[in-house]
Amino acid sequence: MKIRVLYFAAIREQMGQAEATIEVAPGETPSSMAKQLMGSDATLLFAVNDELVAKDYALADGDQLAFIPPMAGG
Amino acid sequence: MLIKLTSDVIDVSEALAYVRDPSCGAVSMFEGNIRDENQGELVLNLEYEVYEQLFTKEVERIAAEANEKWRVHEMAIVQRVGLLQVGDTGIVICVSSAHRRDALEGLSYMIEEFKKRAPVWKKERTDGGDKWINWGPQI
Repeated sequence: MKIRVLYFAAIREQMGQAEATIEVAPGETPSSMAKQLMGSDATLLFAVNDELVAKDYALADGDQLAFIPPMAGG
Repeated sequence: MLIKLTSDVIDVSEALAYVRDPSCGAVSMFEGNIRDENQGELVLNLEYEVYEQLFTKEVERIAAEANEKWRVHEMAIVQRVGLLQVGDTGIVICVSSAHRRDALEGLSYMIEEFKKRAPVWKKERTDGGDKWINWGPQI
C-alpha cells in the first residue's frame, strides 16, 4: 500500500524534502515508519490525515502521515 | 473566532477590533515578540513553520476548552509564518469577555496550551549558530 508522509522543521531538513509518497507493508505504524525512515521515534508525535494519533496506529492505504517534532509555539 | 496564519506583519488593531463587542467590558491581548537574546546568545532572526491543517484544528480545540472554563465572548489568534526579525511580532491572541477575570484567565489558558499543543516550530539563528528550538540530536 502507499501512504503520503509529511516532514516538518528539523525533520524536513534532515530528510531533504517536505513530503513524499512511499510504499509501505501492511501492519506498519507511525512508530515503525519513523524508525525505518529516521532511525528513531523518540520525541515525535504523529498525525494521520491531519489528526493526532497514537504511535501504534494501524496505517491504511492512502493515509497521510505527518511526523511532528517537539513543538515551539508562542 | 478568528484563526489566521500570515506571512505579513500582524495587524494587532484588526485582531482587537475582531473581539471587541458592546457586551464586553474587558479585552485582553498577548503579543509574542522576537527577543534579541536567548540563553546568552545574540538572536539574529527566527523562522516560523506551521503544520496548517493541524494548527487550525488544535487551536479550535484549545479555544473550545477555554470557552468551557471561562465566559469568553470572542477570540482572535493570529500566527506569523516565515522569516521574522528581532522586534517582530510572531503571535497575537486576543480574548474578550464581559468581565476582566474571564478575559485574563481565558487568555492565559490559551497561550499556555498553545505553546504546548500548536504545531508551530521556530528555527533560531544566533551568533552561536542555527537551531530548531526544542529539537535535540535525537535522530
